[in-house]
Amino acid sequence: MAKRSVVDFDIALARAGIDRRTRKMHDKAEHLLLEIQRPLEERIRQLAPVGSRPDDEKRLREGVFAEVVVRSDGPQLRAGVLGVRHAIPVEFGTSTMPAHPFVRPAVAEFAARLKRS
Amino acid sequence: LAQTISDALADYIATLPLGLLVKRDGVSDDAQKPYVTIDEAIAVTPDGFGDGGVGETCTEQVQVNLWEDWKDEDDYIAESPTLASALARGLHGAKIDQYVTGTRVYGVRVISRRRLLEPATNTVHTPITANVRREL
Repeated sequence: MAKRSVVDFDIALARAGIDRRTRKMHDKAEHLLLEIQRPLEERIRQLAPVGSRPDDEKRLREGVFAEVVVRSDGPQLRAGVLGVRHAIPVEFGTSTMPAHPFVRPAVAEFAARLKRS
Repeated sequence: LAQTISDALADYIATLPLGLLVKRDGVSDDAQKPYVTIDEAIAVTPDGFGDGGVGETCTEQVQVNLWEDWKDEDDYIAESPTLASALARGLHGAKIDQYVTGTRVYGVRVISRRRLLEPATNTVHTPITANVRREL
């Protein structure tokens, strides 16, 4: 019986250690994500199409967002365009209009940067 | 052998038992649906694991578009419930190295897929975003 409680104690210690390290890792990841949040937003705006429909394009750029969300399984960086209906046809294209991806290239660029850091 | 990733993907998709036409440049606009078009090099990001010399790898993001009729002349649904997922399954993990020359391709990984309905043109558009890992 006594032996079992020692094992339980060891497991509890190990779990506490893992939790501490996970928290540390999450804090570091959150810090990194907060650092790239604004530059990512800027990059998406930069890649957004500029051309023949200035009003639509202005609304597109105004709808761009990037935010860090902290969840129990770690921090997440979400980026995209909010409240602009033509963002999806622009990003993915339609049967009458070629795609002009601007969110995915920016995200890929910053994801690669994060991987390297 | 293909010189570009989109041509290699087109050759590979043509071998899948899905009966899909891959529309390339020069194919007439009134081609019968369902067909596939490919947008290559949405983003090309070096992995940065090498020293920049021979064998340096990168990830190229591509978009494989599946175009289907939404409804037929009798107003019944013509869209296949399985075609898009079968295409995505066929692409995920595909080794397309044997279809391309000039660069080594390590594999294809599907990232996302979504269904976009265009009622005005009776079209269902399924863009499949995939990462192609290859030599830079």
